[in-house]
Amino acid sequence: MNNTILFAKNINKVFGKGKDTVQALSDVTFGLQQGECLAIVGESGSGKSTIANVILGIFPPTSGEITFLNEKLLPERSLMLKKQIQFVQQNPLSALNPKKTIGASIKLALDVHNIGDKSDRGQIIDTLLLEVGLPIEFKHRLPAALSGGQRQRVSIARALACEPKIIVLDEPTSALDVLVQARILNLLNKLRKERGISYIFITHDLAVVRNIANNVCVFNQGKIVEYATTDVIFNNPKQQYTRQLISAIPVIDKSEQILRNKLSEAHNAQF
Amino acid sequence: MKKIFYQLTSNPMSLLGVILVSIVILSAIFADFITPFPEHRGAIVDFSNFNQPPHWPNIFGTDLVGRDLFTRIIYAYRISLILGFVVLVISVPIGVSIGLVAGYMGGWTETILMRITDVFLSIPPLVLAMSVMGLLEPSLFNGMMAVTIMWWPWYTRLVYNLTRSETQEGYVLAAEIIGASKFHIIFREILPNCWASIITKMALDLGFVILIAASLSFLGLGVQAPTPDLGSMVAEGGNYLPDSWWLVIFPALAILIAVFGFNLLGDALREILGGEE
Amino acid sequence: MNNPLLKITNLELGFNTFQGEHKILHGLNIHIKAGERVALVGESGSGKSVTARIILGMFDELTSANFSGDILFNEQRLDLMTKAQKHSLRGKEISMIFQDPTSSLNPTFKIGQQFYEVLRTANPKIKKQAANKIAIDWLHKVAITDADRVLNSYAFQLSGGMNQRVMIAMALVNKPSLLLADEPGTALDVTVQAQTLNLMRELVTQENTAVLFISHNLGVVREFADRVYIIYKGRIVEQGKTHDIFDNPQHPYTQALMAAVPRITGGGIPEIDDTSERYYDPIFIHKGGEEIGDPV
Repeated sequence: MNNTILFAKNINKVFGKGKDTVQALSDVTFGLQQGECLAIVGESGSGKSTIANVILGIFPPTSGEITFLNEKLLPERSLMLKKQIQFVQQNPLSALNPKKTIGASIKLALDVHNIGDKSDRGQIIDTLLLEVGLPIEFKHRLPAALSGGQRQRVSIARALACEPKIIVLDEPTSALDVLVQARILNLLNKLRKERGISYIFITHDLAVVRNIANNVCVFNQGKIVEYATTDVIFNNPKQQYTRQLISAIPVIDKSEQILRNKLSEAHNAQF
Repeated sequence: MKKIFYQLTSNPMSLLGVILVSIVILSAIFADFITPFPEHRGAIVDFSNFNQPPHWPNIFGTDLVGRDLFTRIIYAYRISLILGFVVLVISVPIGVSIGLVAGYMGGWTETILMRITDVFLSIPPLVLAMSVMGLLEPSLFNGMMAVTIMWWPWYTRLVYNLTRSETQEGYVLAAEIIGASKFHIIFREILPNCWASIITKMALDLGFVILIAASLSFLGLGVQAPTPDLGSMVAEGGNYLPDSWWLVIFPALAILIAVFGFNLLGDALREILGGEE
Repeated sequence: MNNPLLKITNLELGFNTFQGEHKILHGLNIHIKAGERVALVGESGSGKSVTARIILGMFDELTSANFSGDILFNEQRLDLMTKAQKHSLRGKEISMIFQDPTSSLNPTFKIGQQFYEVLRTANPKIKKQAANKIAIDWLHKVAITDADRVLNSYAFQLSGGMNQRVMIAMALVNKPSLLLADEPGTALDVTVQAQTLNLMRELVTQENTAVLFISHNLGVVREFADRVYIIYKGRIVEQGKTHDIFDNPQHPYTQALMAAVPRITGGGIPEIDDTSERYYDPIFIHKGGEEIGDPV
């Protein structure tokens, strides 16, 4: 664990006061390695979005602590720490300001963190657009002129502009068509390898997880049910809940069917 | 821009709005050139030609001291529009800023700012303006001040609600996570998304400000003689109905055209700008 | 049995915009036999949901929409019917299930009341008590055990999966011959979605209801449909029996779609073009997928 970049220890999050409280996260502990893609998987209400918000500092945990490169993350984060942990949202339609050009949206990140000389920033924006597979002319366009997949690429470029160590991806492809999803997932994989960034990939889609993540945390009702490598989760899951989740995935080919049947038999055998 | 123009002119009602508003604004700007007797806007007396029904060259007739009514109506438009613009130029930035800050910051800031706004909103506009005018001396300047004081809270309400919903949008969260300042988020991210609604309301309000100003002067609390004003013209002329009908009908029609035109334009803008993605 | 229940021939749709006509559908041919489960699969903007809306007559009053083509339902020309005639079909002969069950139910009426209204469209004289009995019966069929409580609840008091079951029951209670299901359950969790789809499949088989199942999710379609149409940018590109399409996709677009779906067996994600000239290749029809009696 010498390459651990982020470590979440015994995180609890309780919403509400007095009688009406909801325990959104209980005793969540996990680590993120440099260059790793860690998937956080769960159904709605599992706490997967809550943990993302806690990591991003949108709200603090009720108890427990997160360390980033051995530095404790406090509720009020410095600009330097904000820069290190960036975010790509689910809905590419709302994530970009409809009244600002693509270039201006990316430039904000450069301006806030004072990256590059002022005169070079146009150049940096061009490089970022090319890196995410968009033509340079797009910087003059408004988001409305882009497709969903192109907008998601802009969101990724904007996150990269901060030169972060970690990107939290919240269902980055679930609003996209399957052909576009494939291309975005490939882009994310490429960027992770080239830049050595770490991802926290939050999703409900286990099939996507299988093809992109190194490790998986399965969340249910605010708890980590199973935390293992992707191979173990899909070939030899220890927990009944994990099997149940995988068994519910609609599949399209025979080898998938065989794997699913194997897991759901194991699932049924538990009863 | 081209698209907006296309949409404005493709619907007959919006086209009518554009035409009426253009007539009002252009005649106010070029009043010196299109009116037959520009000097009649001031204190001039021509007893040889007083209280005449419409005839050439006084197409709308003349008033009780012999001034050309058409000339005076066009100059009254100029005064009304100046008044409308000044009111909006002062009240919109104030109202919009308060609404933005209250909507984005939330908490105590929101509570205090919005309760103050509510106090102003709870007083009927005309009553508020009348009491201010009653305290001060009736004049054009004081009229503007009175109308401005009652006008800003409406923009605060509007922008506050817009801001509350824009704050839920992903781009605001994105800017926060990047680490942008509150000032940037409020004025550079959220405000540009409110402009469409603000401009629409301004177009609608120009009509209403003209109407309110006319109401005030109708009550004798607004613009003072000899400056021409639509409201006082209607008020004075009312005493001479039905014989000198032109004294009331033409100024009243002028008010109607302006208010109706700005309303149509505002509605059209709301539909066009609001319908955008 | 020779004539299909629904037969759409050469359906075209365009919208007038200020930049000229924008074409959505380029001549669709779709047929569904009685009791058959047919899926229409495509990406967003392919025209799949629009097709369902045309069948329901939802664009009829839109002056900017231009149609052509025939829609034959039960030997009747649906596209020539008056509004009243169409209205009398809806909910009785043809019913529909939408994507988000909770927002498709009226939040201001209790489920029981809404059931009653649905039953009244088929039988205007039905008494409340009789309606209640039928409703309870149908809620049992969709595996809701505490039917009384559900009938006395509002939609927002129930879970998404529960609402979806209620929707299924309401859609089938009048024994329609055709059910249009537009992305049913996409808003639900995977496990809940799997359960409700199984339920729906069992019920429509039991009742011999034909289904036009509109979806972007290939996995769901594979488990639900007998026959599949793949639609791309307003054109059907491939059709055939479900196992033919999945085991042996022939059209370049279908092949790309299949390749792009991430597998739970892993193997990574291949590089696939999201647009290509070849996706406009002519339609491929698998044997057994063609219209009965149609020369192919």
